[in-house]
Amino acid sequence: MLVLGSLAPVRAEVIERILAVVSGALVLQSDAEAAIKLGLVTVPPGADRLQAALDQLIERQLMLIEVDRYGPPEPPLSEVDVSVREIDQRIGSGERMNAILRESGMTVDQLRLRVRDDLRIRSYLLQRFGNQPVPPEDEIVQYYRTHEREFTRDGVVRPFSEAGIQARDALIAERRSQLIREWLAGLRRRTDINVLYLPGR
Amino acid sequence: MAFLLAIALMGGVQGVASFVGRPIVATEVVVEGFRTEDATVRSLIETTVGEPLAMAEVRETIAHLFSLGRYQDIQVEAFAEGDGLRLRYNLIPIHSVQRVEFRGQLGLSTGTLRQAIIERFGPTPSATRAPEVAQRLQEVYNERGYLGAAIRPVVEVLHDPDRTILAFEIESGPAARVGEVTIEGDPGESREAFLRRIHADPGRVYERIEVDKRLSEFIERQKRDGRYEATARHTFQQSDDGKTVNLTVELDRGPLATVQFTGDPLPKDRLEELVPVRREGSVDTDLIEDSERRIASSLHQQGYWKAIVTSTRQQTAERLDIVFNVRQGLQYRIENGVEVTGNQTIPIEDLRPALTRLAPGGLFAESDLGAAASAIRGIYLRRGFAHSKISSSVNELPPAPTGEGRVKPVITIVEGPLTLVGAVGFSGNAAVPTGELSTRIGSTTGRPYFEPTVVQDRDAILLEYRNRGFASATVDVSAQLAEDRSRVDLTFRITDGPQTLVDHVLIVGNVRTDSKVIAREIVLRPGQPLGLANLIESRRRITALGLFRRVQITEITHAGSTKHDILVTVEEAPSTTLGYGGGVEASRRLQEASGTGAAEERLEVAPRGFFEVGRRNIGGRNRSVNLFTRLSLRPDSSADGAGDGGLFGFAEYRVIGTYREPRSFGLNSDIIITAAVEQGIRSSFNFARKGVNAEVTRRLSPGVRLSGRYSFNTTRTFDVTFDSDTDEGEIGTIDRIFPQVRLSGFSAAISRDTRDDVVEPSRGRFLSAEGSIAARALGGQVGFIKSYVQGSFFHRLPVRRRVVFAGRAAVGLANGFPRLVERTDADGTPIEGEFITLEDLPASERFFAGGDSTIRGFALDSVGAPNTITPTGFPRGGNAILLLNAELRVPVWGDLGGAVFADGGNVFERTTQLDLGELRGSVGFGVRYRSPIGPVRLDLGFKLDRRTVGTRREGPRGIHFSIGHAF
Repeated sequence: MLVLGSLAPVRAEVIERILAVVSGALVLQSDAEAAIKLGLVTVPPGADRLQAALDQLIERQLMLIEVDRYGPPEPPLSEVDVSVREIDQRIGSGERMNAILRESGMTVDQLRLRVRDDLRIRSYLLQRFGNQPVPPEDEIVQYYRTHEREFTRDGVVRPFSEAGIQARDALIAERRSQLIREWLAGLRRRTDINVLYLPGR
Repeated sequence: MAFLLAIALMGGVQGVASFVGRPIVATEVVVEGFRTEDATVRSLIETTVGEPLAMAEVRETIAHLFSLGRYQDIQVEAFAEGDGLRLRYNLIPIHSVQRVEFRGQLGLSTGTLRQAIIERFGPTPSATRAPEVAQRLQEVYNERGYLGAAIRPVVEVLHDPDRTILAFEIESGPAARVGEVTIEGDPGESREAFLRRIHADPGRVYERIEVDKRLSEFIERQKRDGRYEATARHTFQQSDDGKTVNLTVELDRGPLATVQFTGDPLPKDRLEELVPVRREGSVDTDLIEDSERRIASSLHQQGYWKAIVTSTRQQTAERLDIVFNVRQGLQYRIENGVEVTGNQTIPIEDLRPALTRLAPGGLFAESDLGAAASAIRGIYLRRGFAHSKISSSVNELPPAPTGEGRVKPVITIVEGPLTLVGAVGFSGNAAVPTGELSTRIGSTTGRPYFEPTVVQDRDAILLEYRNRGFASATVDVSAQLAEDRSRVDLTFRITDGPQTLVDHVLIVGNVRTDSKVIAREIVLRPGQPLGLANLIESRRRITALGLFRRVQITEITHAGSTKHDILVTVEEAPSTTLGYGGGVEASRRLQEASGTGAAEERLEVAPRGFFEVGRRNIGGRNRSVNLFTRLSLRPDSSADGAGDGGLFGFAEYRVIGTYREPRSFGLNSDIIITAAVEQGIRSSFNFARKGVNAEVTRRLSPGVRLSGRYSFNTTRTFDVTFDSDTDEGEIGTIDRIFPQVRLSGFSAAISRDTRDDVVEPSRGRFLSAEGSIAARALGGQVGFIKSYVQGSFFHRLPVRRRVVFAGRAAVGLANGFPRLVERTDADGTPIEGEFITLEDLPASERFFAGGDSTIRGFALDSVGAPNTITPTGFPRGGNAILLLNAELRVPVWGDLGGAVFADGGNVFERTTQLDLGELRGSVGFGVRYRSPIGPVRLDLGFKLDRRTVGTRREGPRGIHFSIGHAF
């Protein structure tokens, strides 16, 4: 057994690599790992974790390019503090947080910078897509009818008179998401994106 | 056992965590499997052998290496070695697409396919865009009838050299042919002819793009015939086997449109412009409404204040009649000008420029009255009357007996309080002190409050932040108005944002040029703020080297880092430059009259040409050599008019070889060594000169230049027109004794240039002073000291046109060192035992005046105090010169301009004889044409006082044609 162990070849381990280049900006393996571990991206069950993180980081970079172009107001430091604290709480321990930052080559200042950019993106999205017009009544009713499950409680569909406001807000949110998706698709088309990561490679 | 075996076979996968902090025992860089020791690459690696592994350094290294623009992928591997680790950077070079290939059964020409790619992606699209290119090709095939074409992109990567071939494997399949065609609508000709015309006759290969194009032509034809609402489209249905398509063509020719006018007549030559239905090919409602407004506006401008234009639209299935009804009414004039009331603070004289279009008796246009009120409002705002109100009323008067309408416009001003800037404060400016920001703004306490100035101030503050690397800084202004509106307190609220610093400066693209040559022009330094002004200045300085066809400076961002790499990409220009050209020179010059030998002005036309060859960037250090040759063939001007029987009598030439070394000896100075051979022509003599110069120039600041020069030359004067005179003055003597003179001397010059444009200045100054000394101790035959000081001034006048006033003053003084020489007779033969002390300069070094760049009422060199002119009227030059020039340059139309000028000055034999009361003067005018090679100039100058010079009476004028301004 010992002989087998010592005969094992010295294998290289890829500790860092470029996963994608978005309009000249790099997305590295450590960016994706840090985003996953810090809970800044979501990985659906069963999905390739790096691929899922990479997709979201590419979209984030695309949005950041637009944000830098239009320059929304600088987020207050207090907001950055709150967001960093939320990440801290999610991680659970300062030691764990430090380990994640060390393994991804990130400093606390860089994490704050990243959080700042996330807040700028949020502010930009709110500014650009936040004020969606209230849909007409018939469209809300239509949404309510086609999404009955959302308005079902204890197996009983709530009447429109009761769930109308919730249906309206859900429809507005869906339309907003749709607009953002279309906007992002447009950004993807216009931007030079080179994805180097292939799942399983 | 099985578990341990599994670990062994895995080779001990340990994760990043297990490597971080372990000492690095070795680092290697591998490019496609081969180790490299490239110094540039090595210098960018942040991880250090012997130090513990830090992932931040690995990330930084990847970012730097990628910034080089050479690698498309970078991976970092770690190998455990004892307690330490070995790092390997795997670099995968960019394999740029070298060519695009098409393979298989194409069906279409490669030219068609290549063109389709070039139009959208350029000649060599990147390999990552291969799927998009394939999609575009698919569209091209479909448009041309190959509805079942299959296209597969193949990227072939080749090595040594690294390149990619982007290939498309194509199976075009058969082209579909047109089957049945259904036409809905009237094509206006036979079915067969129409189908042939639109390339849709049954059996023909179906090319959708071609059919669409022909249908567009059908629409255009209908529009030309007045059917502006014509439409045409087609749809197709493919057969199951894909070999035929059935078409449905839908046509609607629309009604035939006519445009008619009723009421008052309009000028026929303006109808197309006023109602551009034919030009636009449209009769839509917007266009017709615009036409109504255009006609009405045109009439209003002509004084028909109450003109009304309406239109009606009468449509049937076959016809569309558009009728414009024009009622122009009376033509109104302004009675006794416009009345302005309520201006208590600003005098009417200051408001007058706003009222120029409302002159008494002029045609009245209400838009002019509105414009005048707006202009007055602008004047008040600029002076701090932020709450002023300006209104206007037309005030119609009874019509004049002639039937014309009359108005008496009134502009009423309510000035309101004067609002001044109160307290000015800054908040949030952690990075830039308040004191420094205060110097950047124009809105200061006590100044009139003017909102656009505040906006400019905000931009100035923002620029200051950008220049200090705060790319995302924001500046908001809050203006608090006092209750009595007499003052506004301003607060500039600043959010600094993060400061970006320069990490590495990377230079790529230079093949022959030493990177140090580029690096020393870059004013961005690692660790310093990445400022906008420094970025622009770096680009300007690299471009100014003249070595590159293209210079690009890119900021490379690192995710989550405030340190950015600066990537300088250059594309080198060819090292060898060639230049050649030719032309004709025309000028008036003094020449000997036939028979008398007296001076007379003659117009001389001489063909000339030049050839230049240069080699730059020698040794990659921006050194250059240049050879310039110029030849001008002067016509035969011998006194007897006979010459040698040839057309040309004298060849004027110049051959100059130059070696230039910028920033030589590690100093901020350029060395220029010049060797020249030339033969030239002046009014009183011709000369041949050979010599060398060595010059050192140093730029002290962007506008100030200092230079020092040593020169050694031999000048031979011949065809001298004043050596036969009987005057025994020194000037004649020195030229007789030294028909060929050797000069050796030093000179120093300093200049300050603040002109906005060297070729066509509109503001700024140019000041220069030069002093030179030549001495026998330096190896020359004659010694002298000489100085020349000049100053030019350019000022753009505050009028609407770009009128520029230009002025110049220049003074030159020289004095020869005494030298005892043997006297010579008129033939230049020494007279034994007779000596004379000379204190003069040889002809080639004396001052002359007159001509296109000095005093323009005179021919070249013909100005001088009486004792500098020979009895036959030729100038001998002098030791002192004074020049004064003033010129007004006025643009006239497009690139054409005009000028009026006054020139004065004179040449004096001795510096002690310089006399301001003895100046000769001329005034004149000229025409300018702004050409790509500089202003082409034709000047006509008139003497203010014509005199008899020698035996001749001066001509009244001088005419000059040349390129470039006089000064």
